[in-house]
Amino acid sequence: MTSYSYNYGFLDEQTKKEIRRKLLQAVAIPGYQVPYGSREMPIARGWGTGGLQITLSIIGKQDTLKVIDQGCDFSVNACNLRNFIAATTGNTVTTDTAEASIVQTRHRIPEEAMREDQILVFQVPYPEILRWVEPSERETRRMHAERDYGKLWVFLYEDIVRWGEITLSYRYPVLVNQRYAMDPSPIPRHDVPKLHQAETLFLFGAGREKRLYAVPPYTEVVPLQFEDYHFTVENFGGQPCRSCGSTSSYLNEVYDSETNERYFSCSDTSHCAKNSQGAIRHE
Amino acid sequence: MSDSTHFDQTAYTQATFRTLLDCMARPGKVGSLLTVAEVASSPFDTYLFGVALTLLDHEVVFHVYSDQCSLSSHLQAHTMARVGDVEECDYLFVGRGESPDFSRLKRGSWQYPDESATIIQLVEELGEVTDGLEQALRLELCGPGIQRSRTVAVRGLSCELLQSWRHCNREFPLGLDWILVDKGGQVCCLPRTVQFTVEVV
Amino acid sequence: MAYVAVKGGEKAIKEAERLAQYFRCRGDSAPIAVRQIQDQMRLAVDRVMGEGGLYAPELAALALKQSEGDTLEAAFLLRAFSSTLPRRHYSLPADSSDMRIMRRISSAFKDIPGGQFLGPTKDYTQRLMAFDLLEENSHAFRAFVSEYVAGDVPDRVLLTQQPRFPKVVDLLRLEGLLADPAVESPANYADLTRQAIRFPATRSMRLQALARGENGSMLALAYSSMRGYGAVHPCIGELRVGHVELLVPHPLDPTEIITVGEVLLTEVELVARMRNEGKGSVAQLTLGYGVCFGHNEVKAIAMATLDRSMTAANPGAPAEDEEFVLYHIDGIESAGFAAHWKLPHYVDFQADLNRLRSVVDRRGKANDLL
Repeated sequence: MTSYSYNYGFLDEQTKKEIRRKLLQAVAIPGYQVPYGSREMPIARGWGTGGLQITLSIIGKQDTLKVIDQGCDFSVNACNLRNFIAATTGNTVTTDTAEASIVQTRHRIPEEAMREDQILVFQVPYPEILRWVEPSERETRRMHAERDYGKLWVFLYEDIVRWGEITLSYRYPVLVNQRYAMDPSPIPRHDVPKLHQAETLFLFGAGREKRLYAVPPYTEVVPLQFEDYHFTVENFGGQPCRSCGSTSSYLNEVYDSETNERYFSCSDTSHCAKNSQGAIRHE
Repeated sequence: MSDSTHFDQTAYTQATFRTLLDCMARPGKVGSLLTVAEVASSPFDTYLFGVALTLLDHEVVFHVYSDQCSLSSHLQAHTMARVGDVEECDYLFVGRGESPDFSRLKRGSWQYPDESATIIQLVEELGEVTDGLEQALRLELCGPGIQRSRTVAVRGLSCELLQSWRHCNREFPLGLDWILVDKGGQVCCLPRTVQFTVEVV
Repeated sequence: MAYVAVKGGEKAIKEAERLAQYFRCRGDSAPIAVRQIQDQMRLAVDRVMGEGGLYAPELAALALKQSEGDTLEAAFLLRAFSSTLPRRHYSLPADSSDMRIMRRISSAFKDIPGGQFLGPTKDYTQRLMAFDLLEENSHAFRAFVSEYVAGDVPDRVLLTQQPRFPKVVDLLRLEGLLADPAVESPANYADLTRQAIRFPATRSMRLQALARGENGSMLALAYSSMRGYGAVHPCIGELRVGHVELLVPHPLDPTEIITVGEVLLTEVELVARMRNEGKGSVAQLTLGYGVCFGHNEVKAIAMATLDRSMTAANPGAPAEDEEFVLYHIDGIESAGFAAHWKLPHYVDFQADLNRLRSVVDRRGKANDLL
């Protein structure tokens, strides 16, 4: 039998180089989707392979890693990805946002404000925000090239006419640096304002669709909105988290499996635990 | 690291890349590249060689603009990248004091602006403050990655080259990204989004 | 066991994996040898190699065993493995006219130079359940082989000879009746495993994507074209199955050519009607080309059909739209994404509920005003 061994970070060095080159370009053209080779990973397509390839291409021995799914460190897929990265790098892992130098996430931005020395890596199912209105890649490429976002505006307008408000709840379209319309990944509206003028570098990876893109720190990221219909975030009617009492974090509606009672709890579980212990620094 | 008998290229290129990524995300920020004996033993500039090891492989094309004519074959032998004309190269390496014609470089297309060249340029000295830097250009930068504004001082770069780079970036998203590396391994990146004013100090 | 939101994630994964292993083993039968799969499930192995994009019969058989016969999962295992292998060489274009044939037919001509050569096929048998296989024993199994080999079988059937046949479509070419697609220079071939596909796609990218496509997806799209969503009306100029040698130039001395091995391929050259391009239409038949690893005739026919259907200048049907076809035939991508909906989505669902309630609230208020 031949014995096989894997490189540090699983990916071979050529693959990392390609992703690194593309990441530098992605940062230089904020919000623009850079096509890349995207390798098959031992994790299914659609399960975070884009974010994973970015994390494995940027990580070094000194990094501390955190992985979350829906805000939770212990979701099965977060565990699976974290175990995989830890096994192929030997790096330190953490659940504490403040301790991590790289956070890989699916569908959330941590509640705790992230710093300049951290990188947030998003797993992206649909890199193309114009997919809401146009199925063809050839056509959406043209629309971006010509900054032709009319269809998207009409879509939002018709939404208001039909429902009285914009009903897009996650994957809310944003305009980056006044140039590219961008899919912020399926984060809730609650997280969208955190992309604007942030301290942290945001990297986005869509493995199945073979695209990566970035939002540098201190970059203008504005949700598409109308003068008379402003973008608003989710409202939980002042309900506090049942565990930590927070009224400012993004909440999940949960049914108690025994009493069937409905209650709210933080989606960011590590923040919730810290908050319960009074360990969150409020500025 | 320089004591080690085994050169860990994986770790070295990762660290170099992270410095470049941080600097590209924060234009004008001056970062420090690592020095490693194995890389330093190169007959050419240590840090330029380090950046080349980090970015080049057989999938890209590069061009060298320098009086050191054997630099091309040296980089090619160590990275397997292909040497090509200025017009087709993905990476242009520019020696200290050289002033190539940037307008010949690929600036990408409207649909694929990433198909553009990146310039790796050697300069004399970089600094975040102008103190101690004589005959330097003082750049006041703003744009994505910069909170309000940032200052960087560069010695060994001409105003004309800056202006010609700016001219190449007049039609965003088409443009050229620029990596400046000084003698001491300080590095600073200027992506095409950067806007600047310049004064000679 | 809850699958999220509890700190049991780590344990849940391990237990679920052990349980799956238990389900594979609990039947009290002897474990299947990988070799048995390789020999006796050869068409499944071929299919997995094709979709996995890696010619490795033993590993494909292992993947089938590991995935309990799920071909999509097996192809995924193979693909994930192959992406960790360094890409050292690109082979030279293989010439399939040198194929060591085991089967070769044409539906365009009654007889062809070299003759029709049926080879191993069940095309002309009745699809009756072979109940005797329920009780097949190894004695009878081996006895059949000895008897068959001892019989009056031409050498070429046992593949001890290397029959070579001229290509049927070359007859049409010679007469100037066949329009060949434009040929790209091999120097410009892009590598689908290294680059994201772009549209319009080059033909080499297109063929690479089709060759790794998933059987069922390709068949459905090709069938839609054959039925009438499109107008290819194919005729099989030639279908051949056999072994082809792969050659690479020596890395240090490119003038020296090295044979690195051979692969079993199924190749289809499909001849279709003239292309209707208005006044300037040329009176020539058109070609659709299909090739895939292993013995997989339906896939090669589907591929050739799609190769031809996607040449339509103005796509009027799904199978004519290259973006539609090429983005949706990859089984690893489509199966992965379909399965990903099993992942928790409660953050986005919560966001949806929030919007929905907001709309309901507003409508309630509006009704109150009436």
